[in-house]
Amino acid sequence: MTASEQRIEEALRTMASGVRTSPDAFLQVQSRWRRRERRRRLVVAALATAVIVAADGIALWALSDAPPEQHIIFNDPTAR
Amino acid sequence: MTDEGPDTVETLAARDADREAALADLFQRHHLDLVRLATLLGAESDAEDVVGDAFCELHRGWKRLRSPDAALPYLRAVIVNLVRMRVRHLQVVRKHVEWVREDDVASAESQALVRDDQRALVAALRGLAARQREALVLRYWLGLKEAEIAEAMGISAGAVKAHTARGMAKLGKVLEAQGDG
Repeated sequence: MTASEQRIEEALRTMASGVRTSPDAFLQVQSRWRRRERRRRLVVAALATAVIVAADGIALWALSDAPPEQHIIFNDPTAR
Repeated sequence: MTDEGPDTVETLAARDADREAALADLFQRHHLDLVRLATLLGAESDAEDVVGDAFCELHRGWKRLRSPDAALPYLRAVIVNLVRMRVRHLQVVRKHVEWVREDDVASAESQALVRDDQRALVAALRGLAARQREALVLRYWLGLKEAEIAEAMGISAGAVKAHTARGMAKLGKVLEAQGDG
């Protein structure tokens, strides 16, 4: 390592040594990632519910819109 | 990571507990160094926030890690990215608004430890382009190899060489001036 590189390394080490962290940093970060995880799961659950409700709604609309003589689900192949 | 079993409530809870334990251990061992890294890269008073965000990202992406050993390089890469975004954001804001820079206060605190002969060097380091500063900090403070720096910065090893050389050339001028003075 050259003298310049050594001086840069030393300056960086000195700058870094002045940095301190708060004592409850872990608890803060842990509560942050737990909160984000809860929110993510809530969003996924809400989206899944929305998809199911939409699918149910479309199915009900399709069934209720058909004439009573037309069998959408059970088609009797023998019927003429 | 790939310990895939059927997703029962028990296995999901066990996986969550494993992830929490691994993250707590990582935090314990590396948090201070990562906050220092963020500070040296230019995050200043936001360094702890940036590192907190990086841990949240790791928590979210834990399943996608190749192995537990990949966690630290991942954290470094996220921190480098977040600090770069923050610096860019501040540059834009400062173009439009004039205010008392909080960072200067934080810088003043860390500068109190810096010796007189190091001040010019530190100032020059702060004045470097973000990529040059990142390459120098990752190399000379963390002592990373070129490939590791490239991974952290998301660029090629050749580009790392170029950024390091340019940064060193700029700092070399400051060091020369000090040698003359």
